[in-house]
Amino acid sequence: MDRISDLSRRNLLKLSGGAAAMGLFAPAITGRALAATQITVADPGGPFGPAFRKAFYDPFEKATGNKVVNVAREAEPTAQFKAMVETKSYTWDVCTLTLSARDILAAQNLLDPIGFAHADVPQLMPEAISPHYMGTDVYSTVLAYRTDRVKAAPTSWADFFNVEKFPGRRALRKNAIDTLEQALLADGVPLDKLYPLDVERAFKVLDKIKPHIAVWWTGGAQSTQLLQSGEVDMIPGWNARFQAAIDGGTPAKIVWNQGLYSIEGWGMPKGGPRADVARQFIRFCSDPKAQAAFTEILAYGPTNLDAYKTIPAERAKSLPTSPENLKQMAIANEAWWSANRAAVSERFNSWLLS
Amino acid sequence: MTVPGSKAPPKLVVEGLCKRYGATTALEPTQLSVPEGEFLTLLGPSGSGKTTLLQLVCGLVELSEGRVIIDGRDQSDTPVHQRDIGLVFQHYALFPHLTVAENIAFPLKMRGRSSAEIGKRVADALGMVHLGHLAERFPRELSGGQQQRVALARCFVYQPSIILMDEPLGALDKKLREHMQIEIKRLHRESGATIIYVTHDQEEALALSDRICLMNHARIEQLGTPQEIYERPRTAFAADFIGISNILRGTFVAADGERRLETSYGRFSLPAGAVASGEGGALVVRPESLRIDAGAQNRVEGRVKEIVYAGSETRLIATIGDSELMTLRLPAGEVVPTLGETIAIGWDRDKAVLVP
Amino acid sequence: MSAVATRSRAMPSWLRRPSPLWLAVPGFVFLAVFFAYPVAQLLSLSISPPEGGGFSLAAFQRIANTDVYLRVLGITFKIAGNTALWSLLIGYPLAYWLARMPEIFRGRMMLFVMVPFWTSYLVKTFAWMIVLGRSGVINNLMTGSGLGTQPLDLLHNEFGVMVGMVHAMVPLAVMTMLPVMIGIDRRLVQAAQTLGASPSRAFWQVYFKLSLPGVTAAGLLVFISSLGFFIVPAFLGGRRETMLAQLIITQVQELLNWPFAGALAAMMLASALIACWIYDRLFGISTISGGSAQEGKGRIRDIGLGVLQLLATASSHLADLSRRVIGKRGNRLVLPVFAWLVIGFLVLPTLLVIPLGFTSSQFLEFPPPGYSLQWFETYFSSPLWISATIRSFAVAAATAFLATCIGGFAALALAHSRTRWGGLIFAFFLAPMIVPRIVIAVGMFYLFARLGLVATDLGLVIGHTVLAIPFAMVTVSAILKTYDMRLDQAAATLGANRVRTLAYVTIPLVKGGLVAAFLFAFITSFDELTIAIFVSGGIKTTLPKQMWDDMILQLNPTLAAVSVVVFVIVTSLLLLAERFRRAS
Repeated sequence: MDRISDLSRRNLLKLSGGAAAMGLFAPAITGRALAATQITVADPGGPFGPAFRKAFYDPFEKATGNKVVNVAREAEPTAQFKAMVETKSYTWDVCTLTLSARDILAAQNLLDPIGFAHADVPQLMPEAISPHYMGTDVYSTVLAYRTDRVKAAPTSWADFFNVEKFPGRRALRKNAIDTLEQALLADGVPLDKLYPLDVERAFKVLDKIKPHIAVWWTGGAQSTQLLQSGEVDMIPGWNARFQAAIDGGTPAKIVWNQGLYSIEGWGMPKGGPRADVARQFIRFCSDPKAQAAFTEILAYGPTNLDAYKTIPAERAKSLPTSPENLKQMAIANEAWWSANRAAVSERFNSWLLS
Repeated sequence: MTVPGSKAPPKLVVEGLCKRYGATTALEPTQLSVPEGEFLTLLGPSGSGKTTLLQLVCGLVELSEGRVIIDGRDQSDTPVHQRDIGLVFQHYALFPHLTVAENIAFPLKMRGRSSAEIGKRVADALGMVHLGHLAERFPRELSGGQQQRVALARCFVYQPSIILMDEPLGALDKKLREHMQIEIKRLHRESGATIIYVTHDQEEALALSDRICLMNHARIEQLGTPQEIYERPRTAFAADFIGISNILRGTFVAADGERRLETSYGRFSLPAGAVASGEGGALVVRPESLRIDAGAQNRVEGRVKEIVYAGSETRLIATIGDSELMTLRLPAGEVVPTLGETIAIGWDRDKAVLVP
Repeated sequence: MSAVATRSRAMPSWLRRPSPLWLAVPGFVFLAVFFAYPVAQLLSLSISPPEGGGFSLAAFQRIANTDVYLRVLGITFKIAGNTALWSLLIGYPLAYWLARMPEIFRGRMMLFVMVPFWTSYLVKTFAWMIVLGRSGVINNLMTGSGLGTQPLDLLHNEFGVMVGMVHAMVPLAVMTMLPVMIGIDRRLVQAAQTLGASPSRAFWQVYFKLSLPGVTAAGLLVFISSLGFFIVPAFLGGRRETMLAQLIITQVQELLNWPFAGALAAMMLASALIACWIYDRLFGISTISGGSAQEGKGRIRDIGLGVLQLLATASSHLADLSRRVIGKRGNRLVLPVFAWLVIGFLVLPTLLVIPLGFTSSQFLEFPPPGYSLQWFETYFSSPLWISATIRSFAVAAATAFLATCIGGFAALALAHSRTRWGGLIFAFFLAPMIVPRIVIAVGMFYLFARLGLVATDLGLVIGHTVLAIPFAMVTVSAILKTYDMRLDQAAATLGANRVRTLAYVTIPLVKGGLVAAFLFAFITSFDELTIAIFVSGGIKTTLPKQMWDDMILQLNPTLAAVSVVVFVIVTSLLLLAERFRRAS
């Protein structure tokens, strides 16, 4: 009997202590919640995390008092978006999306509007903004080659597809996207008349180069590795991936000519509970100074072209949206791909196997 | 059946055969000669080297030194499967994935016999062990005794030049074991095979063997017919291991013009012709040589501690001195003393054996 | 007193003397809810139109309209089949060699064999990239030593895929075959030899025949596990090496076409089940379910025995030839040399990763141009990596506990019960092993999304437990087979009730098996990626998931540093477990 009463007394004490502590902390919690909101931002992870933190998250926290928690998202977070919206369990408030993910999600009505338009930020590239989306950075699919292994430097996709004049080990992406465009550009289709893609013609060109492709790469990091280790001498891929190898001392060069650029930016899952702060955050990311700060770490192009006012000229050379580079390139047409991807990918996969 | 010591050329000769594992010796250099048709038993406690000797003969273990000669040919380096030796394993070693008939056919198939011949000989072998009705069963569907008979049939079917048996009856109960002993004896008689049989059961050895090779501490202790070993053991170990023995240890003393054995229970005459060399020795007296006789030449006093009635005889266990026990066998009809009675136990000097 | 007696008589018989099958109920319910239901639902998605409601075969029509999916299925089966074949060819001699070793030595060697098993698939894959690449270790050695001038194409083709997959699967094959081989009575081989069988005939017609149940079980396990691979073919494969799991992931994650993903998954599952069925007809897979192999009768058996005889004759000639070429002594060295080579093959990639963790380079280069601790600094100062590491260990520990309990009780239930449904119940518990992981992961994701379990640790634990239960159950079943049930009866006659019998007699005696089951379940979770990709939601990231993200995003030496840390932790855990096992 004694033991029981002793125990319950102790429990009581503990309970009251806990209650006291709750009482002490509760105002602090609610107080902060009123003043500031914590949003969860899903970025691509890896090197993006620190770069975004420095360029966007920290300045945003300082400017507004809100908190930003960042997590790494999937390479293609569309499935998570779908599940999140359908089950109303919003683990993310904002997430980076590619244009193709934006189109897929928008088509299924899974995105919230961002609440501002191009007119609000006129310096933005027009492709970078839509009702549900604002692009923060531009990446470009370009050709890179090893300067130490290649005798004649390729300057176009035609050179890459010309195995006699430009010998060397080649890689291609194991994906129809970009690869078809590259084939058509090599075959003489002008950059501004690419879309709609002439799929038949593209596959005819690809047929010729198929036996000469040593590696079909599947992931961005793999493309860096392939160039850096010398596994291949010429490889198409995303400019920042190759820039990372070059910055690390790999003797390689990027060919901007005939590059196809695309945009990565913010979208919001439909019906999220902290949508107001999320919109505020997205708007904040259109700031040219913040975008310029981002390019210090990663070689992606700012979407707000005013950013070049503060970016050093040397760095601008390796960014896709610098005027010098941008004029040699065109934007990849996501609308065409959204409509044709399933069928063309199926055909591409079939072509790969035969 | 060949009488031991006859002129027939030896079936198996083992010369200086020896097996060492690093520092331990599993078999000291050993000589052995087995005539054709003999039933030789390797008898001894576990670890005495009998199984090693067997495995060396059949080649399952590589010899360290010496030679194994079968039918006059040196087979020391011949691989197991070419030695033409039959081995019956303790746990039968029947192939679980083959039927009884297929198990028995196995050695014939290995020898490339025609299927007609195989069929006939398998049927014969099955008939020999009375298992014809179980030919299509798998080993796990048989009883222990049946499995053992299959193992025997599998061995006899290809008429190997020597049949080795490694404690083949060890896993059977007493009744079945005795039955199988008779069975093995019959097979031996009918086939005329040379059999080397390993056991640690001395009764089995006495019942089956033409000769017994008694082993201890990795070497041969004594080799002889069962009668020789029983009646004239050469060592105390041999006496003790085979049958029940009363062993009286002492030192030699000279008394009344002859050498006698001085023990703590008295001074005893040695058997006639016994060579009393060295400081001392032991007298071995079998229980049936002892009788209750106050007038015997050699006798000790003992108190009856236990009386075991066994039908044809009565066994007495008596305490002599402080703790030593002696066993006597009284044939049926003799007067049995009562428990606790003090009796005089005596024997004729020539019924005892002197061992070092 | 009398009241108690009456009450107990009034109780229904199943309460008074509960059938041991009740022990399997928690596991049954768990798997029904978190495995059978989501998988069934995913498959049903494939026959419902995208707009919802009704019934549509559109997804299957799309598969039928092109040959690409059937061809990828064919490639998937071909790669998985070849992986199984090569894993057996390489694993069998190693297992044979191990089975003949004294137990202590075997235990130590098993640690080596298990090294790749405890090393993440991702790490192993990138290690092979370093070894096999054009300027990789092998080609550098070869061109450097002047053996060849042209680098060999070892990577980005079928060879590369096979190296990566066989390397990952040999430990599984060896661990499945070894217990069967240890159980074979060596004297049977001796008996065959004394009966006149040459060593090679004795081997093929007796030993090999008796080891076949282990071989067939290993073959099936490797085959099924290989069906779901997507990392190895993506990184080591070339143009043609596309496996179905890759296409399913693309459909789920990139194209958001879940009905079509469901259709592909259904196709994969159906063909996997058909393969299992054919396999069972041909070889029998009863050993996986713990039953002893029954010797069949009839024509198939005769053909099988005939094949073995041919093999025996052929290898007998081969042995003669090699004896003439390398001598008797050399012949005897063939097996140990081969076994050590296989162990070298298994350990090499892991050993290669260790110096890479200490590299000063920004890239995964071998040999490292210099040494530094920067990547360990990166790892230890990254809250992301540290939290992923801690989460992985915690989730794995919880999974191991849960799976060992559920699987252990189910094994106990089946061992005690003599129901004729035993085989079926066993098969149900094994099903998570047979159903490709990607199918489970997608179905589970769909269910968890509605239950709010996505991006929760609980979700990860549940998901991993589903995968770990078969391993735990098979391991515990194996040990219970050697357990003398009379001990339980003895305890009962001595006055112990069922719970006390379990606590004081059964569990202490099968402790070794429980520890093994725990470790198995632990590592299943610790190395699990597919479920983590879907369930972690990018927030509750586990170590393999974090490594995977890194492999996609920035292939840098942090990955190697992490591997070193994990390698050290896991090895110490294993050594501890081994010591614990030996002490008990």
